[in-house]
Amino acid sequence: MSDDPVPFDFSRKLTALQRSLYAYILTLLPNRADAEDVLQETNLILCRKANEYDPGGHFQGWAFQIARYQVMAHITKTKRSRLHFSTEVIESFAEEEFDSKKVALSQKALQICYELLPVHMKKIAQLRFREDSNLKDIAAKVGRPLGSVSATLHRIRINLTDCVRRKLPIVEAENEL
Amino acid sequence: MILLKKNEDFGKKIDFRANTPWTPTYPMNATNDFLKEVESLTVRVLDDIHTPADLDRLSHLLLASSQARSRYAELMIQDSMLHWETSEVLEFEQPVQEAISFPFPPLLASIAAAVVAVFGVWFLKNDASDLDLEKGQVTSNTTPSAFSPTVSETSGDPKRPRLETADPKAIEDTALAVLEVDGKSPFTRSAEARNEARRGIRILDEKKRFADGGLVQFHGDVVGWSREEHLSVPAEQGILPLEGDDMIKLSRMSIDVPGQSAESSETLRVLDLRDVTRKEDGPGLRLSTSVYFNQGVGLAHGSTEFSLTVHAISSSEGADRSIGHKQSSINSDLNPATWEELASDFEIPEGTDYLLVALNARKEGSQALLPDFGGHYADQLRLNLILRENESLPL
Repeated sequence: MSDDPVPFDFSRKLTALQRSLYAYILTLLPNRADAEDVLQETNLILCRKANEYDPGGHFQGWAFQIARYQVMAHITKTKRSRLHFSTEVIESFAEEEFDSKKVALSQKALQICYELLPVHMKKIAQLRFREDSNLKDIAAKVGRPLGSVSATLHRIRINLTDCVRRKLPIVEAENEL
Repeated sequence: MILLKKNEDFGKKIDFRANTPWTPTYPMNATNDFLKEVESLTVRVLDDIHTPADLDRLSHLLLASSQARSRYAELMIQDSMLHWETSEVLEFEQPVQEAISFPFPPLLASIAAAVVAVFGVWFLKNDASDLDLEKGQVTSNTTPSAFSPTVSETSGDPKRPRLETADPKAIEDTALAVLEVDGKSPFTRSAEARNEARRGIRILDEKKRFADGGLVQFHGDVVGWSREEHLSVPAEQGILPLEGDDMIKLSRMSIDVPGQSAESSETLRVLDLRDVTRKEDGPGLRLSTSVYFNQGVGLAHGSTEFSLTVHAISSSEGADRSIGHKQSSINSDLNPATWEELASDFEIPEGTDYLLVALNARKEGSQALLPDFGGHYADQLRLNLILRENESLPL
């Protein structure tokens, strides 16, 4: 790694992009552990290349391109042991979906929607998303069959996306005030 | 502020796909079924219960339709936010909800606040010693002062120090390892600054790459937890950053009325030197520091004593102990247009695992008791690790 310090402005842009970058990587590589590894590798490479970055350029596009290369490299490394999307599928995703501003607004809407979840759903959501428990452990903890937990998690996700869609215009309006 | 009525969203079917920025309208049942299949397969992938056939089918659907890709990406973005390391989605910025309308909210709020305050005081007076501190606590060798909201004394079991602060954040941080620091600087007196230091040590110890409130940085063999960005502000109070668009703003000063002084402290950096000291065993390592300070024009006209403190921390058996420290100080002038530089050098003792770098501001005398409107700022913090053979590593 280069010993040159990462410029402050670069660090700030990179920090601001983390959520979108992680979401993008997770979309291409839908396994959280793998996505976190690739995010770390991508960040390291971005920091190494900080001095090559043109401040007038499109930071997200540049960072996402490097992330995509890292995802491809990761898939090549692990293709025998894991299930992955093909290169064709990976290339089909447009980075516009992951615009940082849109992701930030969605997160605000999600905070609101999460609070609106019924108690029994919130408990399962906490176990899955916050404590990172797998379905089997959740089923044991809440004393419900695995299939029922799986179905509830499905409903939680769909309810949340529905709610986020409805709240986004409100959050956008609030943000513009 | 966003006001909502609770329970308005769940438990009923709504045509969510109408005119949203995420997806276009889907008038046909076939399209809905198609997207439902995408949802179902995506959720199976997210819960890691998918088969190779599921992934093949999902790939086929994603390649076939931009709507499918959009829906898949939407679910993935949502899951990434729900799983984000610091769990901001679940923990912070809880929305204000307008579930029940009270006739006299200010009155009820005042009563509720008073009840909470009374119970809070009662709890801290009576039960602080009963809190489970087995996991760790803040300790300091300095004399307790008004800057520590409750006295750090022992009661009952003499081996069991009491919680030093009533700050809820500090209570939460008892899960962190013990941090013992020497000296009489604002840093050692500030529970918040020491808690930040402890948190930084934990982040580095757990090899986290991201955490709320700072940035993990890599400089060769040194990994650092940096809070500069978190504390940065643009030009304000008539103070322009020395360079660039931002400068560091120190937190508002805490006032010690009997001692006629006011001070604040911020942990700026935590540096993990373990990989360096493993290679460079023996004396000779130094940390060279440089930083500029400035103060805004406020009610208090006296100068401010700014200081930079460095603590060398040795980590063992669940406790982090300071094995050496240095405080360098400078008095600011009263001109907000000029910045004062403070440079110093710190010999890093053998056995150092972490370095803590904190910036402090202190006022003394009657001026210290005036409200701190002016603000205290720092900029261009430069740290250089001087390795043997005069090799330097900018941090």
